[in-house]
Amino acid sequence: MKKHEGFSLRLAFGAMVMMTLFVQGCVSVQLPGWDGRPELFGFGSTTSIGGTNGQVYQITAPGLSVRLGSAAPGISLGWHQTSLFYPATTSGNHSSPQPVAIQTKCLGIDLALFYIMAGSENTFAVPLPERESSIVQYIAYSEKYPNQTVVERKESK
Amino acid sequence: MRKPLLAMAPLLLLGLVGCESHLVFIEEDHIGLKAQFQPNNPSPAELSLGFRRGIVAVVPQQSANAVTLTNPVSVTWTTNSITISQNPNELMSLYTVFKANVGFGDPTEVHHFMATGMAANALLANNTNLQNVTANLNGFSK
Repeated sequence: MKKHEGFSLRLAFGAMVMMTLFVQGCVSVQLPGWDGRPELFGFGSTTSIGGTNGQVYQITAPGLSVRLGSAAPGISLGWHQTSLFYPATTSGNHSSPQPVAIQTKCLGIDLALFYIMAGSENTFAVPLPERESSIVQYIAYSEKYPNQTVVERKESK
Repeated sequence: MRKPLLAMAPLLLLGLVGCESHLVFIEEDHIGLKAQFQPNNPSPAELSLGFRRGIVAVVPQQSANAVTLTNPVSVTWTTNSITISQNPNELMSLYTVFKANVGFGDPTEVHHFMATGMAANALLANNTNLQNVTANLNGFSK
């Protein structure tokens, strides 16, 4: 039993070392930021697109990406991009902004809590709002025209 | 015994900090291999190899808790406005309209409108507002 445990640990450690070498130091970690949005530490970039009619917060992480404070948590090896859609104004009671839609793109291997993916994937999802609230929400997004993104949300308890 | 737990720590951490909210609309496409699992079941619930594209709209389950509305609420968006004045012990009503670009290999283009709770009820009671919502899902200027 002890021999098996030692082998598992060595295998996990070896895999981590091999992945780090394989991605040539392109390693990043996403953690929750003070304003509720995830922050990227390591190799990668974050950009904000749009302005008056909502904002798209885009996190691009090539190489080995560990996402802990993200709306799309997981570990990916290859190229991963998370786009979080925030409304320009909200009338809700949230202390931190919550994304009203999430888009993820991945090329490579993606490991999340309930799936494993190898290849290319593109997902756009709208989370279910909190229960016991009335919400009117409109999202318009085009990859070709990201500056015309509209994210509107009105909420009442 | 602790060593395998240490090796599994990143995955356990992911589970702890993961987003627990459910999804109401999903558009996905992927090429390659994907295995999806369900909680407490090590066997893949779904396995796909090759190309897969899906657009899924989910109808949420009703909540067990009733809502008490103290004051009428006015909600305005773009050029439309509705007043929510009744409280029918709202559970989870949802009205949603979406328009998505579904061509093979095309870039993502989504228009998604959603009203929940009493806002959805008020909207469904007004035929003109419903027509306005559908008519306002326009394309993007080139």
